[in-house]
Amino acid sequence: METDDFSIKRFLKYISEGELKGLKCNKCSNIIAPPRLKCNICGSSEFKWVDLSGKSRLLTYTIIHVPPKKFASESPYAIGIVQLDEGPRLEARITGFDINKHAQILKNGVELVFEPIPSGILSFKPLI
Amino acid sequence: MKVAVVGVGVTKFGKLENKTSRELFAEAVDYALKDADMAPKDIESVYVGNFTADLFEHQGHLAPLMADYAGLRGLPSTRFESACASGAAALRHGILAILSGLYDIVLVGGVEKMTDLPTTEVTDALSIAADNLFEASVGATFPGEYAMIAKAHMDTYGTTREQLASVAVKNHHNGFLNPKAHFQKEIDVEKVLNAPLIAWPLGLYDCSPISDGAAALILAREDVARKYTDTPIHIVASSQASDTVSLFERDSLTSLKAAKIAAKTAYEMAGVSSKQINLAEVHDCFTIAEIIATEDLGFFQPGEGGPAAEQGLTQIDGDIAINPSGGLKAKGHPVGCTGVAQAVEVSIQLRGEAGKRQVSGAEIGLTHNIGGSGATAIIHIFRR
Repeated sequence: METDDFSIKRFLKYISEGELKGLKCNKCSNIIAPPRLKCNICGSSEFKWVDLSGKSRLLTYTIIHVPPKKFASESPYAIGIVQLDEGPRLEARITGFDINKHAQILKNGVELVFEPIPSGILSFKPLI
Repeated sequence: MKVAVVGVGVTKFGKLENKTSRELFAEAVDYALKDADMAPKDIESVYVGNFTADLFEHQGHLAPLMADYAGLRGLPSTRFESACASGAAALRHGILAILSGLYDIVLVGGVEKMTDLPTTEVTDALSIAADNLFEASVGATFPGEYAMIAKAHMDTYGTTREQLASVAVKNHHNGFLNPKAHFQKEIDVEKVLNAPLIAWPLGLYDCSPISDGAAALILAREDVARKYTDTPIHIVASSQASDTVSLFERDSLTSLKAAKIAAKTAYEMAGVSSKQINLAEVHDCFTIAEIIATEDLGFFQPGEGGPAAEQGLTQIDGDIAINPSGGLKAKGHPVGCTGVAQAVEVSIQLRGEAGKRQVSGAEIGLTHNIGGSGATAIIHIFRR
C-alpha cells in the first residue's frame, strides 16, 4: 500500500477485509470517513489512516422488502444510518439480530458495533 | 422575472405499452403548440428533462431525438439530468435562456418511459440517483432512503403511519378528479396500511408508481406573451439548491435542507410569503416526502405536516391545496417529466381551467421538484 493512498477505494478495501478505518487530519485531528480530498473542518490534505472503534449509535433504519436485483436473495434485510463514536456517519447493513423483532431491538439510539460479514458489505450489529 | 407560460400540454400518465418516449414527447408538444396557437417555427430552442432513458430504453442523446419527432428538427436542443428533478432543471434553463436575452420563445419538455423494464430493473435504474459507492452498494433502495427519513420523522415528531396514509388517500382522491392521472380510483386508510411493505415503514401505497408520460411548456418573454394568449401565467421565481447526494452525510434526516434554501430564495425572488401560496404541486415520490415538503416550504411548522394532512388542511378546499393533480402518488411519476408536469398543472389551475379539481380563486402557485433523496431541489413560483 502506498503510504499516501487516502482514497475511497482504499477505504472500501479495508472494509471488505474486515477493518473499519478513517482518515485523521494531521492539522486538526478531525476524523473523516468516507475519505474526502480535504478535511471538512480545516481544509488540510495531510492525513493518516487510523483504526475506528466501530462503536456507534443508530440514527434511523429501514427494512428492505423489495431489494435491488443484486440483493434479491437476501431480503428482507435492514439498512441503517449510524453515527460513529468518532463523529462520522455511515450507511450500512444492520445484522446479527432477529429481523422479526426489529421494532423492539432497533430502538432509536441503540448502540451498535462494526461487524464484518462475509460479503464484505459494511455492516454493524446491535449490542444486545 | 420577465417570462410567462403561454402553452401547456401533458399526455395521459400510466403504463402506456404502445408508446415510446419520442412519441410521448411529440404528443405533449403537439398539445402545447395547439394550446398556444403556435406553429413549430415560432419555437427557438428546446430543453428536455429526462432522468435515464439510457437505462430505461437504452437511448442516449435524447434532446435532438425528441425535438426531431416533435417537429422541431434543427433547433438547439439539450437534455437536462438531475434525477427526479430533471424536469424542473429543464424548465429553469429554459427560463434562464429567455432571461439571457438570446430567445423570445422556447419549449421545455419532460419525458420518461419506464414501464418497458420489469420492476426489479426499474428499482436498479432509479438507484443510480443515490450514492452508488456508499448507499446503493450496501443494498439501499430509493424507497429505503425515504423510509429512513420517515422513521426519523416518526421518532422526532411522533408522525404516524396513519398520517402518511392520509396523504395517499387525498392524492388518490385528487387523481380520481384528473383524467390524465395514472390512478383514477379512490382508496382508504385501511387499504394503505394493509398493503405489502416495500421498505418498512413504507408500504406499496406510500410509494409513487412506475409511470410513462410526457409534458411540455411553451415559455415566452413577457412582452411577446400576450400575442399568443390572454392568460399568460407569469413565472415570478426560479430557484435551485443542492446537498449531499448521500442521505447519511446530511445535517438533518427530518427535512431537506436544499428545499428549505430553495424555498427561501424563491419567496424572496417572488416577493411573497408561504402564506400567500394558494396551491403547490410538491414532490410526493413517497407519502413522507409530501409531509416534509409542506414543512420545508413553510406551510406548516416542523412536525405539523403529518397532523395537517390527517386533518384535511391540504385538500383541494383546505388551507393550502397540496397536489390537486393527484401528485406523483396518483397522477404518476414519469421521473424526468414530473417537474414539467407540475408546472403544467399549476398553469392550468391559475388559468382556472382545472375542472373538477380546480382550486377556487387560485392566484399564486408553487412547484417543488426534488432530485434523489434531496440532493437537488428546484422551486418555481407562478402568478396569474
